[in-house]
Amino acid sequence: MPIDRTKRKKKKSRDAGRARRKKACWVCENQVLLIDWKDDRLLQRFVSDRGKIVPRRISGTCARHQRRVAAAIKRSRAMGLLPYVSEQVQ
Amino acid sequence: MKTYETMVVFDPTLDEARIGAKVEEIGRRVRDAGGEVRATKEWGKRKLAYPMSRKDNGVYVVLQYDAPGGEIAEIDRLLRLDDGVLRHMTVVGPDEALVKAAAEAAERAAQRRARTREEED
Repeated sequence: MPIDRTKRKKKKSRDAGRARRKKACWVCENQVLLIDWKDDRLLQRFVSDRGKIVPRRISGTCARHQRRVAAAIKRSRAMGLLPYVSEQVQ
Repeated sequence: MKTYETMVVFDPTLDEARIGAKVEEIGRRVRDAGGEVRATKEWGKRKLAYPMSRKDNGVYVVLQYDAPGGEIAEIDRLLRLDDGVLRHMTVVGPDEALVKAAAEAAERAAQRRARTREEED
């Protein structure tokens, strides 16, 4: 007997019904040509309050700029401009 | 010759004259090797993002210079052996054209923001 496929419940995607808009890359948008590892105020924008690097899917940063931002943050951390971890943030 | 950028974090308990002398020493080495110091930026005392050698502050100095590659190892060794240096890092600097373009772009962005603010008013 053939399986009746019509009765099978349609799997709902988690995002169904929720409109998703592609976030624009902040770096592109503001035409920042050089992501300077010495500019901790600029980099602060790309780390969470815990000091973690914010992933692309959250920040919307494009691939190229995310790579540059991540590299800059790491250099910055080594020099004590940005924290590796920051605990007591409320 | 390439353009390099060296950032040094000094012990904050060192007095200014000592720090100045150490910075000058780097400059001298660069010049002796046939290079040229383009800029020395003294950021001054700054709070560290995390403690280093039980210190919460550091005195930051950034040097930009042209030097033959071999000299970089020498400067690195000098800084590494110096107890008054908490951290140091040398990177190949972004080329001048890019730095200039970036500064101009930042300027344009600032103007654009000012303009949109005017329009809103």
